[in-house]
Amino acid sequence: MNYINNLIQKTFKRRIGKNVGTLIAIGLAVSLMVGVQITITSFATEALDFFVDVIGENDVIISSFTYPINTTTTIPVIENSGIDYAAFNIRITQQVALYNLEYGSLEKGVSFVGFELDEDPIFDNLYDQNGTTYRRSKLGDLFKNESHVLIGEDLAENLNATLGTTLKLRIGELNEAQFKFDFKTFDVKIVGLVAEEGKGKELGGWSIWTSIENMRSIIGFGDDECSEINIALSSDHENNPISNEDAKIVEEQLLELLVEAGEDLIVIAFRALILETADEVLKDVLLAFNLFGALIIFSGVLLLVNIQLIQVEDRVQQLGILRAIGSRRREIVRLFLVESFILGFLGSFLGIGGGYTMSIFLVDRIGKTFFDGEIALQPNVTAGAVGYSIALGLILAVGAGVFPAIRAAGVDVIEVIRGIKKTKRKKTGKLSLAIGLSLIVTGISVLVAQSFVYDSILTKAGWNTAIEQWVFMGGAGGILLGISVLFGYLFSRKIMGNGIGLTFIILSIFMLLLSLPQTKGMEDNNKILITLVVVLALGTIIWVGVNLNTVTNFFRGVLYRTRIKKGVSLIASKYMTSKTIRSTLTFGIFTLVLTMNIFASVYQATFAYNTLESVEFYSGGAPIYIELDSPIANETLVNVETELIEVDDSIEHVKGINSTLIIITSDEEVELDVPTNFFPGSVDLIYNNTFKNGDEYVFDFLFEQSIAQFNDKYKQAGSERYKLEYSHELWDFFYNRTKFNKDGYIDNENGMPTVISTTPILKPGDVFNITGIGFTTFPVIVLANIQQYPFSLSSMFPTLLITPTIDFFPRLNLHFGLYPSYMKFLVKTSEDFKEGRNTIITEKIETFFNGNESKLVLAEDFVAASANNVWEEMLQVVDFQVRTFDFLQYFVGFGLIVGAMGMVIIAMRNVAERRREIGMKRAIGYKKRQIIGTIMLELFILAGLGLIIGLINSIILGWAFARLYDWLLLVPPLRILLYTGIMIGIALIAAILPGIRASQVTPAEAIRYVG
Amino acid sequence: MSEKIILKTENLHKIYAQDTPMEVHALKGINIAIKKGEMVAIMGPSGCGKTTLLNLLGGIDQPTEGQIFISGQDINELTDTEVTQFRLKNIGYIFQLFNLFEFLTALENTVLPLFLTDASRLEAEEESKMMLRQMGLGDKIHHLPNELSGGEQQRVAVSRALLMNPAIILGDEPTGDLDQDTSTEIMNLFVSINENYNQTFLVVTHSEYIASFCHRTIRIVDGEIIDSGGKGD
Repeated sequence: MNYINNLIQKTFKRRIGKNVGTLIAIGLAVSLMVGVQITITSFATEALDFFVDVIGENDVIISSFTYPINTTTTIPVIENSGIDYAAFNIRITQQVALYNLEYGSLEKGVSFVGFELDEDPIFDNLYDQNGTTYRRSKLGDLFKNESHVLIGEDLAENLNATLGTTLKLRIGELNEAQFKFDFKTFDVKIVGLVAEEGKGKELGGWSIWTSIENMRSIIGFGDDECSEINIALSSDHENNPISNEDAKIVEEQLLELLVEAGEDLIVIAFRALILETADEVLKDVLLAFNLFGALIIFSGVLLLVNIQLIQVEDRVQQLGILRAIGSRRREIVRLFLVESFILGFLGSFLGIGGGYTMSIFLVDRIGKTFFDGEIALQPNVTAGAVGYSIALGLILAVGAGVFPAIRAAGVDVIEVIRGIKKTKRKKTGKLSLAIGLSLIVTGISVLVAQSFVYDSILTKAGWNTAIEQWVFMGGAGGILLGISVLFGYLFSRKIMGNGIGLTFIILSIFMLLLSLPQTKGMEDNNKILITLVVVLALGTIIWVGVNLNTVTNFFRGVLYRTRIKKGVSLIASKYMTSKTIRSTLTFGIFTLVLTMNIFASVYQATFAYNTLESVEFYSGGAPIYIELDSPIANETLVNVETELIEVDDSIEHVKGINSTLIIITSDEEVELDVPTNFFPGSVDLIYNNTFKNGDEYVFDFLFEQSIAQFNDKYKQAGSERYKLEYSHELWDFFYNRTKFNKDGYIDNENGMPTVISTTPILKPGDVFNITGIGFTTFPVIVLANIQQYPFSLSSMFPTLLITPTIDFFPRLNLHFGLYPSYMKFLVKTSEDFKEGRNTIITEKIETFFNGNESKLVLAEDFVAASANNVWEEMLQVVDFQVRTFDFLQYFVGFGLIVGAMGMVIIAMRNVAERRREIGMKRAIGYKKRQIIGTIMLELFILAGLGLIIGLINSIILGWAFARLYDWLLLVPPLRILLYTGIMIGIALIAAILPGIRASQVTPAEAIRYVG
Repeated sequence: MSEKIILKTENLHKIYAQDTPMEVHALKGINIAIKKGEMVAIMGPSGCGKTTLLNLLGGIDQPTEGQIFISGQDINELTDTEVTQFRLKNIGYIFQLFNLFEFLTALENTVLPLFLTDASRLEAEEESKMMLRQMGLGDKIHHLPNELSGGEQQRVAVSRALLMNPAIILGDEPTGDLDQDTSTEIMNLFVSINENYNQTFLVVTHSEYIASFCHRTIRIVDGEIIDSGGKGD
């Protein structure tokens, strides 16, 4: 054993140059993995912190939208609930419009919060400009005059206000007699500015604060009334966290107790809801990160195996001698594994440094991309992450060393000593017979088991979750792989390799064609797609690798027709084929990186094109929409629909629609994948009978799905004309308040009101209850799914269109229903949808509502209106997606750069290994530039292979994505050309140094070089 | 054999690691002249400078001093690219370890020099096949080197060296890795080529037996020619 230890030591010293190369390659590969990990962790942690900061220590909120909460009856319920809470407090919160008369600045949607000055310290969330907590005693002094408020710094800046400024706020005072709010204006003086930082900053700090007594006096709440009770289950969530599940249990318990006590209140596990929403929002981004990260890590592994293989091939002579003097195979394995361990260990440390450096840039890009640069993100490196990185580096470096070590142990002594190669047996051994049969049996068992569990494995019932599809893939894949391995035993290794590669390719394409449509609209479809991405990439790499000879023959044939000397083309292509595994690993890296990059750009282009091109259609051609913060109280002052037309000559039509928040509860008779008390973000109600002008549909909608009656008639026809006719007919049913029964047929006597859903969660024909705030429930039936409606595109919750019965809206939403006015307006102009003056018109509309000369402002009956250019809004939505994918391309770009650096090292090592061959070529008559050309051509061919496979893979994947969303696939030629250029550049960079080094080899010495 | 001098050296010196403590004066004023169609052996003990001389004559190394004329061209006057091109067209190389590319077939190994010229692929391959057939390898043109015997591999190397119809073929211990019978077979092949095509050979060898196939033997000791006589001298 000692001689092995001595050998390891001596080898390390003597091969220091080569080991440094290996070390750097391992370091680079680990850098990729570590960098990816730190970046993803940092993003997830920082993004969650962002949400958690908003929540503060608040776990549960009890609220009532319509009535004030009676604290005398409600508080005892909480106190006697037996729930182990840390603290609770009461608040009054109102959404208000603020106006600075002096400067004419108006802000809508500001939270005006009244709170107890002596509330428990854990709810402290006010910090002064220096970031220190506002003392409650000081707050008491500040609020001694009732009209005094504190205001967030950013809000103050936006309003051009400062300490001492008097603001005018419009606020609803509850009119209990008429069940409505009377809107009044109040003057409030700013006596304190607070920082926007710290826990509980209330959704970005867009709030103003005052004492609860002050609020009561303004909006007419009694001494024992409030609008909100906050409950903290822990006073320090960082050190004593409360799980979402526990918070939800408390939510249910409290709701039950309050119902028992006769209190009709809303209880929400607020923190859990926000965190789950954050998870939901982050899920897709993290999914993309993880997908790209996984592929980058995969390419890192390929890099590692590649460099480890070179280690073996470089030392075949030494290994042969070792075997000849009596070293056992396991000692050779040990020699390699010990070396791998040492190099892996050192490489991991290098990798941590490299990965950290990589993540500094990437995390900074995250801040700029996802948080508009508002948050300066730092890479989040924990002790755990460092440990993980070292472990990962070691596992991968040693793991990547196992295969080469086994290869090393298998070195044939006679071959090495005599410098010849024996012809290899073309078939695989008996072990493969056993493996093949086991795989087939296991695969069949899995499929049989699956068909028992899900009735059928080839119908939707057996395909509609990711797990089912993975199990199917596992079963089918097992059988096909088993057959391939058997072929290896019966025929040849090559047939086996082809079988394995084709299994992966066919399986992924089969699943893309058959399984993905089953998951359309399902959450799981992305997961399946990711699996298929990896399987397809793996399959193509294996398949092309196995047939590298044929592929390179083709390339050679092409190259022979160029001006490149045939001697250069011949050597380059044949050398690659002789080193199949290494060549495969190399083009595998290119393939993975290009698959990711081109897919990202195909997806980006497809998404942008399809989203933007559909906007005009979905907005019914209305380029502008207006949102008001509250209905206009005095209709006699302004009639929006008639007066707004005067604002600009281009305005042709103004139409009001209404929105409110309702609660949806699932109906027991229908299996709905919707949680109880599910909140849609907003509900648009259209009940004005002038919405449609005669037979002309002013605002068209395209229904993608509807209850069976409509489907039967039109869906098969498929053409745009039929689709439009179908949509118009459906709209007529909806508009004419036709009622439908549960079976989806017209039944005006016993049927239900209809709802149009924008979410696939609520499918046509589903029946569920909707509940007006504090009111009774109504069963409704989903008539149709409408494709995304422009106002809800950025909403995280689904939107509904409610059947337009005139009396339905007031019953759902009591106080707003009393106003014969709208909260939203669509504005049609004669301007071009994309290029027209619509932005200028939106400014004019805002001035009409909010300007100092506005009738509403002058009458102190102001509403805060925001007019939006639909096209620009959509550009912003698309821009975010584009930036996300740009970021992903940065992400992958790092993979590419690091991969290229790895390639340089591999190619340099390659040159060292091929000195003798280079000397021979020089002796025959190869010029220096032809030597450089050979080395470069090899990398170019491998890069070209990666480019072609990456392009095909990414277009297949882009097509699958487009199919999921019924998009038109768009392949951006310029981007692809750009990537081709980058690829050529990288191949050039990766090849030029080794090429030059190769050309400098002295032929006389090289010929005698024996490695 | 004609009287035309195909290769000539004048006062050829080669000093390795000059002006360092490791300095080795490998060749000391070598003057040789080889006529067209002559078969010459260079003999000498290990380290005497045989291979160094061969490398200089082949233009893959530079002399420290002196001149080398091949077909009247002073190869020291050529640039690296020119000398490479010159080597391609005028010098054939045969090595002890055959130096075939293990990943190329017999045909591909042979055709390589022609593939560095503007010859068409079909033309080049046809010429190579013909050459291999002449060498008795007509049925093994698609075999890889590891599928050939040592003698067969060397015949492939000879085919490659001959393909460009070079002015001279330089052999560095061309039978050093072969058994006696195969060595005889290869040397007979050289003799046959020499006689049939008037091909000039310069062969470095340790073996008197191998040298006996040549017209004359140049003996080198410590970098100096001690005997440049003809066969049987």
